[in-house]
Amino acid sequence: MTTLTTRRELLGLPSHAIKSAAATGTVVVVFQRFAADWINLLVPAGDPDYARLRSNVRIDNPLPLDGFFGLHPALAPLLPLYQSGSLGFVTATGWVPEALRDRSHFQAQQLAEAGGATGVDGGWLGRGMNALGPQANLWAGLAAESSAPVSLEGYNGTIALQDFSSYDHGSVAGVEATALIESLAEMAGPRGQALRSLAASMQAIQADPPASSAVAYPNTNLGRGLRTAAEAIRHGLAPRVITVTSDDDWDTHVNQLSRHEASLPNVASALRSFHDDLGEQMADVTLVTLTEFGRKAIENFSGTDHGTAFSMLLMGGRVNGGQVLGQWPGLAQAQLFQNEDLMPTTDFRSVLGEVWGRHCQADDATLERVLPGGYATRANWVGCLT
Amino acid sequence: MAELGMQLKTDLGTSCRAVADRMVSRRTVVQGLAAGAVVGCSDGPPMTADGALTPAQLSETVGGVLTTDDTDGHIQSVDEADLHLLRRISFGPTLDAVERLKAMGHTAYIEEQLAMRDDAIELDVLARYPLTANAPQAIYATTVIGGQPYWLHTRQYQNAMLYRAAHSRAQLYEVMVDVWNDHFNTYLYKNPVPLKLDFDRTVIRPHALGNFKALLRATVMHGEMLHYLDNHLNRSGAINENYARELLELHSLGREGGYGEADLKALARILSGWTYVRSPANAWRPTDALDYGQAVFDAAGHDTEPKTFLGEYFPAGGGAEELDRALSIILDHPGTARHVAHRLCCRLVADEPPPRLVAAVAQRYTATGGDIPSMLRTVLRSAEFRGSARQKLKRPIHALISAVRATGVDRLDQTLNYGLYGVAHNPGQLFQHLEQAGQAPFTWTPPDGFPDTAAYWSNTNTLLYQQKLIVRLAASRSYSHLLSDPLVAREQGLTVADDVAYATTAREAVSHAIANLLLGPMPAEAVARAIDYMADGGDPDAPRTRSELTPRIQGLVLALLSSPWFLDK
Repeated sequence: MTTLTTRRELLGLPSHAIKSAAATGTVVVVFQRFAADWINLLVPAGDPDYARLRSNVRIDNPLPLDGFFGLHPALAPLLPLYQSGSLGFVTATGWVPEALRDRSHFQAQQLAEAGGATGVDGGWLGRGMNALGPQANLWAGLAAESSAPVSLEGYNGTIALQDFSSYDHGSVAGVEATALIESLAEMAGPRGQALRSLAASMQAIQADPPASSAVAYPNTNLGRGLRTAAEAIRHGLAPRVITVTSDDDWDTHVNQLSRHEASLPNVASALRSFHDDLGEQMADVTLVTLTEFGRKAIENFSGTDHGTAFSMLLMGGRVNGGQVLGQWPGLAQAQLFQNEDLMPTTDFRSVLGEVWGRHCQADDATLERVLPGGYATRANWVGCLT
Repeated sequence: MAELGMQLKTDLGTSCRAVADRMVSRRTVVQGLAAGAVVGCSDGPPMTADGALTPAQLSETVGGVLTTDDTDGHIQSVDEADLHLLRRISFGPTLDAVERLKAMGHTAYIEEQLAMRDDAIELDVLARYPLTANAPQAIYATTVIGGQPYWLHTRQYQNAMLYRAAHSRAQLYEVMVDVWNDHFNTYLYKNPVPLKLDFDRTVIRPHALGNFKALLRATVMHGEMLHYLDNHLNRSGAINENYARELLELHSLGREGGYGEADLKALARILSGWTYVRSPANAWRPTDALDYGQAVFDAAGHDTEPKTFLGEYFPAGGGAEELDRALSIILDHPGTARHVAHRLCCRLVADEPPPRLVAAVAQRYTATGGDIPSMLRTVLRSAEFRGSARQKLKRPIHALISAVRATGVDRLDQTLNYGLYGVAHNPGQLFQHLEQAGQAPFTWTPPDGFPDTAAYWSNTNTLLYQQKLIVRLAASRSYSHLLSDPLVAREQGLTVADDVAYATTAREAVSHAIANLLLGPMPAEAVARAIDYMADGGDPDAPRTRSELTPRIQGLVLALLSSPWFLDK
């Protein structure tokens, strides 16, 4: 199937077989790398055990959301979006099958981006893109970061791009040199794929450059990535998926409180700027976040070590926002996973499956191929999109 | 072959043009081989009866064909096996290296590289980047006490890494320094007192071609690692798992090495109390400066409860000696042998190395007690290594340094003011482009080190910033020497060949550029495209002046150095 797709693309065959005409909008996937402590972002203030487990690393004054959960005060710019219903959360997400839980950053990121246990091919977005059929649109899969993430592996058309304004090799030899690069890359088969994508996308941007965003974004990878994502959408490049990395100092083994104080304002500001920048166009955009695992419910002293369940943030016009979905498992000793971690109650693939399924009108059989394991299909959706 | 060599022996007394003519005719002979007219035998380069080729046939076989006089042991031809070895054990082949390898043979060349250290380059580095020699006390004194910005140190250190990679004769040594800096990665900017410089100077470099067990023990006993993985805050009653987890998963046993969460927690407690001498915030004391950065054991912070680690019992009341014992268990473990072998094979052989070779290298680890040169010999002499040509992709540092080495542009750097390496702490062109491509030296934040797979680096953003630097390099007029016959230029002792052996047709320009930049072959169809580009719609064999060829040099250099035939290793 994949081979056929690749060959069709290489041969430039008409993509009449595409079933994706009905699919609309853009899915933006933000990966919080190196494990965010969601317990202190979406604070379970109503759980009496929270203060017991977090005697030092505790948020005492969260912004009230629903009477139980509160938002970390440094995320205040997101509160109006929650209140207006365009932002929501799913709590206690992770791998429901215990065998797939892993506290290694590297293993867990690999697994989460693959979207299934060992044996699946490539990444979940790669399979999702390939299931849509050949993409005539050069920008269908955009990684607004410095490299294509594992999640897009298997889709061979990914463009990795940090910034439109510098997307040009700058040679005085110009177009003809680019054409020579492209033509040499054609002779190299699959090894030349990224070179061909670069040449084609560079030519497209030179011919019709996107306007720079007028909204200010923080100068972080998340801020820069979301600015590029917004510019791509506003310019009508119509990506089906955009990936963005958030490396906002999440690995807080020590000094967590002060580090969150420093990093969260930028996180909130980047998300808020993206929302404001797109305005009406947010109607067709869904942004969803994930991280490889949450951090331990039990603090280590000034920080938190690697844990299990996390939460997911959703933002966009289709989001069933203004609420925290999912089942809170509780923080009493008997409710913890292995006596120290928040227990996952919603498989994160159910959330991703719903977002992808809604945006791409993927049926259950397709969703099972994209995110195998039985959690991505309709029966498991949590209602995070309207 | 000797007869052929004699017949073609270069006479430096003849005119340059005559030399060029002879070089071309000699090249033609060998190019005939590549076209398949092989009469030859199994050892040594094959021979043809008649080497005369038409220009069209010539274009079928461009590349991989550098030849020179073999009467004094110089290269006869650049074969793929030589290039393959040099692509893997250096930051890119140069004509000097090709020639030496050809003269010595693989086994002796590898031995020479294993033993070689380049003292001259160290003096050069010291002169250019003096802060890299600072001990922790001096780093502390200048930054914390003296108030000097930390980045004066870190940038000199980054610049020095690039300079050594490009210029050191001890290329395998620098490759291994790079390997271990990835294996024991720490983030350059995490500690505001940049101890990373001292970690590299006193831990990584002395052991890079030594013994792995000594290397790992040295990493544990350095303030840089203890700080980076938060062990200075790992204390009894406030156990911090960070270092224990990465020590097992990344530095030693590896993910599949056979340990569990209970082992990890036991190791975290064994590590508790190990910290390093540092200063309280906002205060400076000369006594701190004297010992700054030294690993120390704080018994009051050590968890003295009994522990079981990898099946071994550690009784209650233990102290500093527990760590030594735990490290011995770790370092003698077969999981560590496999994991270290896998790291070496991944770097030197393939992104997914052949399990049989990994097992053989692991066996060498166990048999030799972790001797790094022994493991490297097993890798480099293996059939799996020989069969792995072009299966890896150069990472950005390798791609750009090898471009610099292939062009010889570094030798012109000072006079032509390319600003490649950066003077003292100033960022050079290499640094600035690597930063955007994703591989500024020592800036990988997480502990697993820069990725070493094509899947990660084969992306449009990385390729874009590599191309941007090549464009800047190729913008100079001096680059025209790349359209000169490389061997003639070399024999004339030229790096900028002026009018010596300069290409006179579009076809010849492409041929020379490929010979200069790729050293190895490129498929005929791709060569034909390059010739079309240089000919710009005209006859590729029509005589052209230098100024007629010049405008398209930059595009040609850009395309060749961006192509898979240059970026694969």
